Amino acid sequence: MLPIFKTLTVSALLLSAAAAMAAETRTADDIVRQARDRDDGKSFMSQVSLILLDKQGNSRIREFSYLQKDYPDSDKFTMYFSAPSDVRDVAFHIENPHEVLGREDSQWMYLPVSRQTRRISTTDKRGAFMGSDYSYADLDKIRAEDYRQTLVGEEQLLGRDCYVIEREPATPAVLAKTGYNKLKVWIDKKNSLVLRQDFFDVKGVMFKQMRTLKTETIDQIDSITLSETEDFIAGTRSQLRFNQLQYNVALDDRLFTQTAIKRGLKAGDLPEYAVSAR
Amino acid sequence: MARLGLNRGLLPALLSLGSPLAIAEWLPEHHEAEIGVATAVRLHGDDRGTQKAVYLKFSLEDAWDSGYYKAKGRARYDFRYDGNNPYSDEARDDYRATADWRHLYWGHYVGDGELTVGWQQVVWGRADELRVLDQINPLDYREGVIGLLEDSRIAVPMIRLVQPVAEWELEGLVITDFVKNKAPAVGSEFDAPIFATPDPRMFVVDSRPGYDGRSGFGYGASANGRIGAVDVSFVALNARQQDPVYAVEGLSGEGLIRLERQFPRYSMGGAGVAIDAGHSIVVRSEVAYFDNWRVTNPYRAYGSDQTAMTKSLLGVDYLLRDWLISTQWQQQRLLDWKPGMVQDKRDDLFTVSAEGSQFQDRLKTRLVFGMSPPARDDSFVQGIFTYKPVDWLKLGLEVDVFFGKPERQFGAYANRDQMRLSAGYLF
Repeated sequence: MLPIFKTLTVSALLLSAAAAMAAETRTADDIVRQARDRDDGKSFMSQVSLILLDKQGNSRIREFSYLQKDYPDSDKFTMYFSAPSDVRDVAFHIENPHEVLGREDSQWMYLPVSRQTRRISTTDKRGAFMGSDYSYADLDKIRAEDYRQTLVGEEQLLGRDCYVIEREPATPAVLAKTGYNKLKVWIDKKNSLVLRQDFFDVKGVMFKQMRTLKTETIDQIDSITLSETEDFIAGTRSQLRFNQLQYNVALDDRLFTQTAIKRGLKAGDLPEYAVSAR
Repeated sequence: MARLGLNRGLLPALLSLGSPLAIAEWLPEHHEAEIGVATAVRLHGDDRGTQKAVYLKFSLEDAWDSGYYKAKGRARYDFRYDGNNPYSDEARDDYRATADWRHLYWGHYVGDGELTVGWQQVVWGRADELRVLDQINPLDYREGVIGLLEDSRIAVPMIRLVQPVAEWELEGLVITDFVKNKAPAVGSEFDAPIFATPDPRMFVVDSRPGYDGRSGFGYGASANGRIGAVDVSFVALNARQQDPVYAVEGLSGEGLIRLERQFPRYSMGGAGVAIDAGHSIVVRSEVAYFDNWRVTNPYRAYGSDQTAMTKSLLGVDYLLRDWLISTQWQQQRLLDWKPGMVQDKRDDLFTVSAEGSQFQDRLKTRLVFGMSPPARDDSFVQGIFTYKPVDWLKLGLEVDVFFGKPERQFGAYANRDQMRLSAGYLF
């Protein structure tokens, strides 16, 4: 073989391998972006049960109203806890700017014991959400640019075909914010729902797993209605059960301000929930 | 027989009223209660028990289309103040049985806003257990000076209107009756020099003007919202001072200085800001200006001293996983300070606190260090732990340790370090 031909052949092989790798990377990014941008309505509301299960399986249930509305520059969330008594009237308001804007979230919490609304820094999202195994980072909308992601395979989960993607923090700041050194995510090929997520620490040990236990199609939108997170170190589990989930409901803008969480929800603030309570 | 017949009818009726089913029918939409026992012991000295109490706390709420009501109360009977105890008669009367409403009010929706009428607690500002803008409710100091504000605020009768306007919330309120701070009874566990009344060997307090009705009212307004990424609050208040001021009225026939105990009227304006500075840090600041502030000065020939006063606070909150760590510096300044005033020209207070929850929120912890410099003269350390092993049981532990000189606000309790224990059944 002529040396020049040999060189060209090697170059062509290298180029095609690089192109294949680039295509694979792009594909993983695309899949994650698609999961981020999937249709979840212009607004939604739900009565949510947060179920905390200890090592022995004893459960405690916390109930809250979960409201979300899309705005041109951000998604806004408000959560009002109603039970049990020790969390009654605790409320959160979160403003999550669209990822392309590159801005951090804003978050406020109202604690009825102190009768104050306090701004909370969102740089550290490793804390437990209301004592559960979900961290504040777990409740964030999926962010594509915070991670370097690789498509590592395809698997079936809950009878659904899924992409399996490994994600590593793109910057030390993302690692500091979430505490996750690596994520492994199973994303449903058809509806882009995250069906499972494994969380790894700096030693590469999987210490937590979030799994979808139930999905339903509501108002033509595929939705997770029961999710569970297990902390393998603590031996505890938590579940989020979305009851009476409704999309594209008319929610007033005044429910999505940091001053609203102090007033709480009152009669007539929300449209009637659909009768089809689950 | 008629009486007997009545009793025969009444008894089943009363029994049925007392049955769980009948009680459930009478209870409002939301109801909860806690019944428990509480004890406190001094960490050193003789006769250490300072509290042996049973208590009841309850909360009732109901709502309808146009409004709602909220009622929250507590009652306590302390057996430590029965029989033999080292406290004064006044302390026994004051502490043996206590009860108060934490709030009791009715609300009516007015458009997007609401009108509330009744005994309420209103908290202005974002300070952690310090009071710069938070001036509306007086405080109950009968359990000392480092009790949580949520337990120490006294509800005051008021009419309050709150109206949201876009990202802002506007508020106007009228306090319909004057309520003062409650000092510990003389000769009680928490009596201290900072609560001292004029020495009867030198002074006679022979005049106490009433502050009922129109002369006791107060009024205020606030606006809370955002300017860009900064949370902003503005407040204004006209009310009466909540601690007594003793105005000199001349000499009595016995040659003692005659004083009048007053609660003078003042005006206050203030503002507060909070901003997320990144790196898990929120910076807070509050400034308040008090006009026509009155201060006792026993060296005056007549009346009391008048001065302007400022209170300011700088706070930094750092969020570290499940812990919120706050450091605060509060400064109070009398701008027209004069010799003889019983209030210092400048008073600084530093606090560092860490608040967090563990074990799926079963354990809540609050640790505080506070001091008025120099720390060796006036400081305290406090630890509050609340543990709920199950939803119906709440266990509490609080340890308060003080350091400093007896004439200072925290140092005064240096020989009365305490540990408090409680167990409550929730239903």
